[in-house]
Amino acid sequence: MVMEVDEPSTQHGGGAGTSMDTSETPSSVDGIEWKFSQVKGTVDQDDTSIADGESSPPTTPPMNDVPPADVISCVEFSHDGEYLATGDKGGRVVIFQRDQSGKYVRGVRSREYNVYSTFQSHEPEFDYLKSLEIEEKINQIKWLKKKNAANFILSTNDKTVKLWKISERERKVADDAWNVERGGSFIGRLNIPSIVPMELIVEASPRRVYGNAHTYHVNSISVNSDEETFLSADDLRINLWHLEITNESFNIVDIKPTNMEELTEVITASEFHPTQCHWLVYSSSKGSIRLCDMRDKALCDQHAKIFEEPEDPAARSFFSEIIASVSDVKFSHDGKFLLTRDYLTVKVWDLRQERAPVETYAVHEHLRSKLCQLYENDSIFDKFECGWSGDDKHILTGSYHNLFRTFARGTQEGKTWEARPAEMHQPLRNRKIGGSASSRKKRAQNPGGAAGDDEIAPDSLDFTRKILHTAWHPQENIIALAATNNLYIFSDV
Amino acid sequence: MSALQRGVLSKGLPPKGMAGHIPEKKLPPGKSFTPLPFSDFFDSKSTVNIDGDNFNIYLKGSSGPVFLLLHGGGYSGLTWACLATDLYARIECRCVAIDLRGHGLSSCINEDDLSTERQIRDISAIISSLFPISAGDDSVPMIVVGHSMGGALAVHSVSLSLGQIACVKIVGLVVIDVVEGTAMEALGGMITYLRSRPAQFESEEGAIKWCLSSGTVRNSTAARVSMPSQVRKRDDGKYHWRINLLRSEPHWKGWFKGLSSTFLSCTAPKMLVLAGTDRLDKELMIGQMQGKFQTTLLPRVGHAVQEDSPGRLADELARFAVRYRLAVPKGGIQFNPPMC
Repeated sequence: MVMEVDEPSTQHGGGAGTSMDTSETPSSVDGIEWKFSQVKGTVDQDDTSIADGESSPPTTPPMNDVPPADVISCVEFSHDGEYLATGDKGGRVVIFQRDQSGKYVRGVRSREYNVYSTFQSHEPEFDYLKSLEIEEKINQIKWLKKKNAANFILSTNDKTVKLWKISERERKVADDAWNVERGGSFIGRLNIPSIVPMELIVEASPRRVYGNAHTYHVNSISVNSDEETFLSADDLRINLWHLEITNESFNIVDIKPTNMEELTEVITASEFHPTQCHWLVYSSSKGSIRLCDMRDKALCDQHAKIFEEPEDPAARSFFSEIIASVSDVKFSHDGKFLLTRDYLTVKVWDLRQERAPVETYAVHEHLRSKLCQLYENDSIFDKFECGWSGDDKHILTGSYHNLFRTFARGTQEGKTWEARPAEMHQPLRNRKIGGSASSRKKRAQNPGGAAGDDEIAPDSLDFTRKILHTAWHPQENIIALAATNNLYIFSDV
Repeated sequence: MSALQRGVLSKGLPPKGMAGHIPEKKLPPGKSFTPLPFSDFFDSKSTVNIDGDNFNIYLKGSSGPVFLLLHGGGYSGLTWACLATDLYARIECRCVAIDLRGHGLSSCINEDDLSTERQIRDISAIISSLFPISAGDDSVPMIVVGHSMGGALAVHSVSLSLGQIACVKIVGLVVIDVVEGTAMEALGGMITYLRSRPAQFESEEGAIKWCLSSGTVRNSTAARVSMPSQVRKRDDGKYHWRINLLRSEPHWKGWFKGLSSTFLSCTAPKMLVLAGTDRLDKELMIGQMQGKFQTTLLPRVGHAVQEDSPGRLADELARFAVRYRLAVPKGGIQFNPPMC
């Protein structure tokens, strides 16, 4: 095999779980065993006690009963991990704060998150020119780095980005009594009221509204490492804003064809590099990821790099294009790798190698034969997010049936877990998707099963319950997952 | 996912609802599903031998213009059974329904070659042998009616070969439920649809029941006469599909390519019958606005228009024929011209 000098050596063998042999990737990392921490949102009571060894599915309320406005549409930890923001379809943002009491549980600082602030970020609007409703669903929330006592977040719906300031105020009240009377003389000990702190009030106020810049639906926002600018990306264009200036934005990427009939590709996600303030990436519906350098030109239509894996002609089907569409792209924290999620896999790309990813992990390969069914029930259009752990050694992504997967980089198999309520600190059970007759026979012969392994038949997967949005704490192994209207928090302690 | 993104991703994919999940319709109890013989509808059938290939044809009527009926892929000549009866009741005409190569009761040496060229030659040969040149006879007026694949073959035949047959004069062309643009887009879903059909049936009745409950055909009489000819009993005692349409897949594009422009270039009076929701493609829409052909929309029918609503289709065909002075209405039936 011919190797180019400046490319890292790869053993790309295709299929699930390819490991790369460079000095940057750890050769083998232990997988994380997740334990239940918290669940937010209403859950059916029957779920909470499931005896060991049983594998009866939880009786969650049918998806039709969940009020649509409560469906969580994005999850994001703040840069220090002390806060967790969620946005929902009803335009509300709920911010949770980690327990500040300083108490220690099981050797680490308490990992409990409690509601800190709730506010209505966006309202439904109506575009009179096009006779279209503008949904208030929060598509993305991004935190700004903390510079003073207040926190700032950017939240966006389909059209408008808003900057919110979340600040604390302590309400103080006068307590105790006067004992001075008007007139007359006073003898004795003087009592004056003392100011007593009452309660912490958290206020969220909109500081900037960045609107009227997008014709198409905004899918991503990303704050630059310079902490002064941010980008907003819609289906065809990416705009660059300055946080202070709301009436102007620069268009940096425009892939709109002159004739809309010739449209074949849209932008699906976009992000700034974590440390290099001139680099941004955007992913497309055709499965390619482009890296642009803003120093090149004012309009970065010409990419500096394009990360694209040539299609395997043997695997071509009607749905090849749809499942190749990249739904999420994330830089690693060290800025050397890219994580992309398409319908069936997550891929790790080295920024120095464009022709193929260095690692590919199969998320739910058993769905490959069901693509037709998934197209019919619209599930094939679901956009799953992916995420890195704080140390970039693990990868997290969601799947159907409230399952999620974490992969330790460099290992073949990822682990599958189901998000369901349990006792605090109770370890989650490893799940497996069954399917082959031999594995079913093996299960029948050994009903006790390996401790902790639960098989789910691929045909009994519930496609209405899915984990699209995930977030990993920036330093510790705490993850937050959005399962329809519930937020699950799991930790490794 | 935004609507724009979904549109871009779904380009080229079949419209939903075609494949996989076909809602099961409840069959009304007490209805009979026994097969019906062709003789209830057609007068006779005969075999035409062309160079070792035997083609089965159904005939009806003895005088009047000839309606040459070409069935669609996977069907047979009996798909026209109800239509022929209804048409015969309205106007003086003759009906000739052919079982094309590889379909129905025809048996040919090479049943895999379903290319347009081959089938056009078959049709010309059959017609030439049915209407041989004889001195003194006026040429036979012929209206070619085709459904789906048969419609494509009708168009190609009329434009290429049938016009050259000495004894036959093409006086009308009717295409049922096939539009080049929509057909090309639907080809993708065709494979999935074919795979989703049951591979075999226990009996002819079972096949008829499936046909009705899956909504393929909505008229039980039509299903009872046409479905048995679409399946054939094999050695294992089960009824398999007469023709493996998946094997014909290489020919599909050839059937529909250039269909719209060829259709518009035919000089005979033309009519396009569409089932409910079909859209015209760009060429046909322009042609229609220019008045090059007549469009008829029959709502509430499935793809097999001639089976679902033979009565209404017969009305339309009869009206078409009478208007162009091709046929004489029977027994006092009046066809009022459509009022604008």
